[in-house]
Amino acid sequence: MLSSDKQNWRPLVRAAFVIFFLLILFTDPALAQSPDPAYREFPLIGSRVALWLVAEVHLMFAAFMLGVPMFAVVVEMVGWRNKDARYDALAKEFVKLVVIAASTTAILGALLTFVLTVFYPKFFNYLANIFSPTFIIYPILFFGESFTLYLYYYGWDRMMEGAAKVGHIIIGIVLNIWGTILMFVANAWLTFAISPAGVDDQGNLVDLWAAITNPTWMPINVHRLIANVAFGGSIVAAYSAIKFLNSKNAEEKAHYDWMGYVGNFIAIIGLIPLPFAGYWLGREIYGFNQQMGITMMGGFLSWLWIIQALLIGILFLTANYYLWVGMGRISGGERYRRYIKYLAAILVVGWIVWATPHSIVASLEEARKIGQFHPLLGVLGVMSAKNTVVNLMILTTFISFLMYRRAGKEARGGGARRVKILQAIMVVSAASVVLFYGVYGYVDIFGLFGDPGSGTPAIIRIGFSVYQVAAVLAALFFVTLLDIFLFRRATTLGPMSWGQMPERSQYALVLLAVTFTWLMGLMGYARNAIRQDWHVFGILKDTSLDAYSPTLGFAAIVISVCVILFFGLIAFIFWLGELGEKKAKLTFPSSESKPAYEPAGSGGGK
Amino acid sequence: MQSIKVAVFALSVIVFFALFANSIPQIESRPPKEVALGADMTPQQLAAAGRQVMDTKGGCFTCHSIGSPGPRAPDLQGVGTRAATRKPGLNAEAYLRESLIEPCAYIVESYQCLMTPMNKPPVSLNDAEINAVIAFLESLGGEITVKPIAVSASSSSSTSQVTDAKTPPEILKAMACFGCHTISSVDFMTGKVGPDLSHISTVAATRKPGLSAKDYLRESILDPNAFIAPDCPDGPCKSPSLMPPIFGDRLTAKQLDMLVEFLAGLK
Amino acid sequence: MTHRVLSSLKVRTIFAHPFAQAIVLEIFAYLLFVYALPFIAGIATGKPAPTPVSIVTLYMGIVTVVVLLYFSSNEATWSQFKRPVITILTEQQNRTTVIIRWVIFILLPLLAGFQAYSGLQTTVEAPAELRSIHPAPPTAIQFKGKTLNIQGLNNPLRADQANFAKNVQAGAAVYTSRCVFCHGDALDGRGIFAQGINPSPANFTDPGTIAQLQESYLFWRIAKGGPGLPTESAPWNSSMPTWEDLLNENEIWQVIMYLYSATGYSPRTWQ
Repeated sequence: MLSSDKQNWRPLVRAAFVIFFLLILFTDPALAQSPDPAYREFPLIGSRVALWLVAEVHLMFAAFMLGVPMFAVVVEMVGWRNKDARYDALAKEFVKLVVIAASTTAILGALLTFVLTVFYPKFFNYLANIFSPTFIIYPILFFGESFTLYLYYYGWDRMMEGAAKVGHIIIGIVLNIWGTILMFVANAWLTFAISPAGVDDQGNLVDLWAAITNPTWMPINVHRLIANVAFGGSIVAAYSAIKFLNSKNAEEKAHYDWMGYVGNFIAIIGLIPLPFAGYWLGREIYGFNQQMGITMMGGFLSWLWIIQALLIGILFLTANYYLWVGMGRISGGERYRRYIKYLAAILVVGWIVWATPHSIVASLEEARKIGQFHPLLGVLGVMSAKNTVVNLMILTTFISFLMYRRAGKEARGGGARRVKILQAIMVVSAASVVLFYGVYGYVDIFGLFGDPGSGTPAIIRIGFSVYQVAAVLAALFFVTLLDIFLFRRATTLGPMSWGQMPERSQYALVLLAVTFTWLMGLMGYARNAIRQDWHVFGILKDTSLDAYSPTLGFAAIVISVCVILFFGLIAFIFWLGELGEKKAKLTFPSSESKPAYEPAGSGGGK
Repeated sequence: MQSIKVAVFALSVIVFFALFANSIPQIESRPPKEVALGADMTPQQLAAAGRQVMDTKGGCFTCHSIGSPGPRAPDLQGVGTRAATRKPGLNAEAYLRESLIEPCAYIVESYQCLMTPMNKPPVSLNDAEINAVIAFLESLGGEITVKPIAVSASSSSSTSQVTDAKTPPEILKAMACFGCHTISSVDFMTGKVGPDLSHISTVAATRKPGLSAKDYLRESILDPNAFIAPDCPDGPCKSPSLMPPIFGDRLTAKQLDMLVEFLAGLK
Repeated sequence: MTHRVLSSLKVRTIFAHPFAQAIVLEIFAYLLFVYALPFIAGIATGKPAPTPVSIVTLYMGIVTVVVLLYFSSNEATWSQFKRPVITILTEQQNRTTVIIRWVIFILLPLLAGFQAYSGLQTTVEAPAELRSIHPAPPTAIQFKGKTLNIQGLNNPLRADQANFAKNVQAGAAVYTSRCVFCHGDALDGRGIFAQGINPSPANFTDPGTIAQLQESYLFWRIAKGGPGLPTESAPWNSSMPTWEDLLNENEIWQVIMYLYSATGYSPRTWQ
């Protein structure tokens, strides 16, 4: 262990050297040529694509690095409270992946600074002028985060018992605090470019704090925090899936099946509130600048949401599918089999509605027959319909999860039936509220805002989505609460056969991770493309050759390259990490505590 | 082997996403073009240019339309007629100018104030473009009263634009000095905002003790706030000066010298 | 009697098979999208609107994915689902199965070839575009310095019953001197210049054109032509010239009267 410890320090030291070297390089007066060019051209692919690739891959690594420790600490706490060594070992395995990825994240971050300073000097200088104090804090935070991470991981085995364990968990929480502040600082820079605040018309700094807390800062912070958890969960699940597929024996299979399940569970937990956080962000963008909001939803970027619909549909469906297949390994799961077709039907309808574009591609002949808007499909193209179905899809996923949870258990007692009916009423009424406001968005049935049967005014209609979201979240919360209470003393119907999963379920986990990563790249493009020809919206104009925003097709290709780079890099470093581990095991025979592989009653964090 | 299968699977998913994204309509968003505006345009040409500004740089039609009221912004059809009656005491031109620069000053019933000032970033129309837009709006049911002005350096938001003006009158024109100042010997210099410069050299030397006429003129051009003249057409000039302190960036040293020389010769 | 019971039993066992269920679901979904949706649209709005091919493809893709996922979400159902496919691919003994295999193996490449062929073939039809076909007319236009409110405007010459024939006659004269070259002798959009124009000139005999429109809409299109089309429905390509400089108000109304009289349609009214 000790020797591998030392080796693991090296990438960090190397990364520090790279950063130091770059800092020297750019403060060197010899490099400051005159006259200062606003841009330099990156050979072959151009500056924009170069910056795009580096930034996006760095972001993916950073999201992984920040997301995983958040749930690793929770898993560790679960293991500690329930005195279950398996969870503790799992949490450590999660953090191991973060340690392996840490130095690559740092190097990519340094590379990003490098590309920005060299190829976009004017833009970088402007940001540096505004945010210079944070540029000093950032490296300090970064070193703090790195050292806490190493302390957390390498201290794990020495801080296993009693008060030391509590101290260890506290280190884990501190690690997350470092990470969160780090992300908040970095978010200030990028959200400032979208919605600058705290500066005058000429772009001179007036108030640094206002520049940091600009209108889109908090929504992006929250959105990213949740998304990082979901992303981290999905990457961990994909990692387990590959390990599962390569497993040689039943023990390994069982372990990685369970790990994949936990990863997927975390991804779903993160996925459910994500549309709401996104909605908040969208509203803030509209609030900051109406034109920017319209560019995003109705203008140049409107077709992007069709791609997003495809990806979100895949995410929901895959998550549900994994749970459905998973019921096969629980004795008692067959009781719920017959309900799956109805859930599948709701998901189909939901996906179809979400994927229906507002302006439909039609041939000349078709268009002549249809007229300007299709009488039925036109109705599905607008926000009201989309909000309605996404809420229904979230409820469906939740029901799938409830069924999975219940598959192996039977609640006892006379009250159980009544509680179940109460839960059903909650879910049905949430669905009714969602549907009611969905329909009400089009037709004012009871004439509350004018003549009965006429359309509902847009301003009132937008407010409806808040009621829909509130109903769904309330149902989710209270049903889960009742469920925990209901199944506290449930009888188990039979053993859970971890490892008995068909291979295709593991491919579902891989699909989930790939889709999530790709979606992250797409949303990153959307967030940046709404600035159009501005570096800092309304203040610093992009006057380079790349001032235009590329087509979605071109963006999709760049995003695909980013995703391939990310998975290629992460697969490579995980593989390297394993190489070192095998050697260590050979030299120091099994010092690591062996995870227990007995079938678990019910998996999951709760 | 399994890992290769997974890699192929992941790769084909990524390729599918890329292909799907390429199968839907492809739009590129180009930065808006600057519309050429001159002081010698006819009202019709000015209105047409205004329409062009609204289509491109102004981005007006994301919210407004002509002929149907939008959900976010009022219908512009017939605004040329309505503009005169909106606010008592404001004629059509003044009302339209106010609506463009201070959109929330008057809000049409049943709408909210969502519009950004058109002369400020991110839209940043310059004065010439604002005039063109007013001309177009007036043409919708009204009469075009607004006069075209050349793209004035003072109001353009873009950074240093040095002109290649070679004679003093060309410089006066390029810097839009005529917008505010009058010089009786130069036909287009008829502005009525700033001091009359027809005989400036007679007072220039006495304005600030210790400064020669030429030094005073140079200082006034580069830093208009250094001395506020007492003789604007409507009484003493306003402080701080309405003249923008930007000509140090816009004039070459040679042009500045030429201009100072020219002004010092106005007896 | 026994025979019928047997056959109904057989039908039932076939439909109990997941593969058959999947095929039935696919067919059902296709019929729903292609026939039921336009029908419902017809009931709701009085005008059946076909579901565009692009939408049907999208929806069928989604349905297929979910159907496959549904049947593969349970081990037993999935192996049952795969069996017919595996049988057809691997069966050696049963002659009928072997024949079916060969038929499929020959048909599939042919189908793929046909797809590729029809995809590459150039058609006379313009490529699909995102645009509205009947742009909304302005509420008012400027015609020779005069404001005409297109909304609610009626043909002033129609009230003059006494001179109806005379006005139609005058309109015919205008038509033959101005419009006939593109819109054709038979008012069917096949004039001598029509070949060179894309989109083709309007065919007035088609019930989808002037029969659907108010006279003032025609007045706007004739007076303002292609250049007068609104930008919100761009990209717009119309070769219609701007006639306001060449025809006076009366002549435009007369030629409109001629169009309706010659085609036998009556203009849409404002009520």
